[in-house]
Amino acid sequence: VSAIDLAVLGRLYVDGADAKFSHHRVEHDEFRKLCVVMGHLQRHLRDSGAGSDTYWTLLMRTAKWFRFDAMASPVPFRDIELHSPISSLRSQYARCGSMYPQLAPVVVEVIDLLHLLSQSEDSPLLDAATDVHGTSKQTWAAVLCEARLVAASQAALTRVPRLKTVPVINQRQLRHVVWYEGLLLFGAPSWYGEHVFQAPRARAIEIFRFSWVSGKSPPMSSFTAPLGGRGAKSGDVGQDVAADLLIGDDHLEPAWVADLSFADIARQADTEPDDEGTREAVRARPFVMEGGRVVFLEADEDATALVLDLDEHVEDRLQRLPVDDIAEGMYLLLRAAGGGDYVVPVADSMLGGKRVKLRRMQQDWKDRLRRHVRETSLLDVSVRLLDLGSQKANESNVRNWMSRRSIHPNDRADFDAIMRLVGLDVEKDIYWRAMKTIDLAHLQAGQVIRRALLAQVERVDLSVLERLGSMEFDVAGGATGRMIASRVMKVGHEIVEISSSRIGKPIDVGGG
Amino acid sequence: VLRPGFLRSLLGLEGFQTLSSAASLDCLIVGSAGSLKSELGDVRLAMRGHDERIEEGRLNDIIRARQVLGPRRTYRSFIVSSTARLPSVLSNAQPTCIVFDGGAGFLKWRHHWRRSHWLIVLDKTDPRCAEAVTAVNQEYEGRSLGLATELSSLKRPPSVDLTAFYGACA
Repeated sequence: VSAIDLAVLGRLYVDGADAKFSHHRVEHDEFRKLCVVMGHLQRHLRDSGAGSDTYWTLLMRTAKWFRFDAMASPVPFRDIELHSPISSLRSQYARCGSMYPQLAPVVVEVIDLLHLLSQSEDSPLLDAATDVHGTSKQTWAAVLCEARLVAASQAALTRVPRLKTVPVINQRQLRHVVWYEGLLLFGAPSWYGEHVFQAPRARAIEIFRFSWVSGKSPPMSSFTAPLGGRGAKSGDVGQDVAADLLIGDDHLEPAWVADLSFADIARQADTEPDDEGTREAVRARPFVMEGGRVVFLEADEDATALVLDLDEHVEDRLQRLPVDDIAEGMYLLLRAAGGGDYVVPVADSMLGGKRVKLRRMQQDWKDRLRRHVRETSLLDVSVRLLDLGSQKANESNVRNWMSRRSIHPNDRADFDAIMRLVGLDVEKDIYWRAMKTIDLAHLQAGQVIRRALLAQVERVDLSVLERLGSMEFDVAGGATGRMIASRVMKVGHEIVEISSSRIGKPIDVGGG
Repeated sequence: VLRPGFLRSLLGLEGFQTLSSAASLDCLIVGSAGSLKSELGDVRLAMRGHDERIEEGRLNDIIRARQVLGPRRTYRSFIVSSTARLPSVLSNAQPTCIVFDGGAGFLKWRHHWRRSHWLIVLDKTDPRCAEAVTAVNQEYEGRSLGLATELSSLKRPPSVDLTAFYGACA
């Protein structure tokens, strides 16, 4: 049990209820102009239906991420990384006039403003924070809604004498038993979790946002029938809702959420070359990861994934959880390169010389079963398998059995029925033993990876992972290579169909 | 019984004998199993005994969770991991009380043990707190607040929100 400072606890439970929230509205002419022009362009694209044209992706992605990063951090404009260089934007949209003549002047203005700002040393939010922070020597921290902006923000603060000792943290670090004299928040309150306002970690919370960004706080949950009225005043964020609304909406979503369509991402991923040469479609749940990436995990009820849960006790942090139990704030462990199932390469190395033959046998009976399904239907094959002695054949199980991601049916009777159906009845024992060998190798591989990861987890400073949102791990002694732990920012509720080879492979959707 | 002096100081001789004489599944604690085991088994407490001696104990001396006590001990409670699968023997159990420690366990297992008393502890910094509060409010719909008067004198820090209500057996 980690030591908990009782004095800090007392402040959380008592002083936290008296936290004072102050809003500071900041101006900047050129940046305001960029936001206005982008608002016009976005409205026009939406109203005309032209927004679905991929022609606009490069510009909109670059401009939206720049706009968000400038609004959500104290980083000077020139230090904000542009998704695409200005020269690429100019070249891509040089002929905009011939395709979208009425939008060409707006596009030129957006690119010109991006160019101007990306060379500007101005940092309006940082200047405002410097003025407010004064010369206080007390313990303050700057809080960001997104971890990927932490490093650049810390560098920006270091250059300001009054703020150079102020640490930059991400909002998830405020879930710990910590107490600050004051916190500096940047951007719209709605970009922060409820806990920042419901369970304040400071007596003074200063919120810096551009005047045209809404000060509306995130919705606060409360009991329908609280005992003795509200216990805490902490939900009273002292909302400063007023915003100029010049972006056409009073709620601007973070760049990684805006316009995110999981179905489109899955479709796009499926059009890219498939390195495994197969097109087996599986149902998958999308997860938005830290750093603007989306990963799809199989949505089957038996599907699991390795996660790091920093809220758990040290020995239980590494867990294999059902995909349905993976929640926001956990860290998914994925292969850093190549993606896919990290158990397979380790299992293959354990199979050694037998690998080629065994994997060919595994593929052989699955291909035969797939052929039967293609020629008839899942239902027809299920019925025939039941006739041949299967106990559990149904459409869902047959789909699972022919998937490359499963090794064999658990029940021998089901396996034998498949062997009969696909013409391998005579060799069914040989095939069964082969599948059991693969199964054992997978089991051992899982244990090897788990041990190696556990050793890493114990060795590394996980506070870095929490602060930055993702971290790479070396998995010694396995063929898995480096693995990356990435925080789950959002769990997608829609289930999409995607090629099985795309499972577990992070897809960059911008930002980075 | 480990540290009998601590338990005797706390409960008196009769209470001590009642608690330590037989195993019984009085309570399920649903939450992060590792953290619960650690908090119950490692946090050191002290109690002044009748002869002014300081008796040292652990939370688990009172809670008596089976997983912390180890086998062949007179347990009184059982820890249920909010992420593991639920053994069928536990899903059919009817303990007097269920303690849901955290939103994840409550959201996952709240359809079980509906004849038991519930104590739900939610942390406002838990990412699933809002979802769990919504679920608590759904449980409240159509229920009686009678318990509120009994608990109205309960002192609590100003940052702690509380609700209490009677629920019908489902």
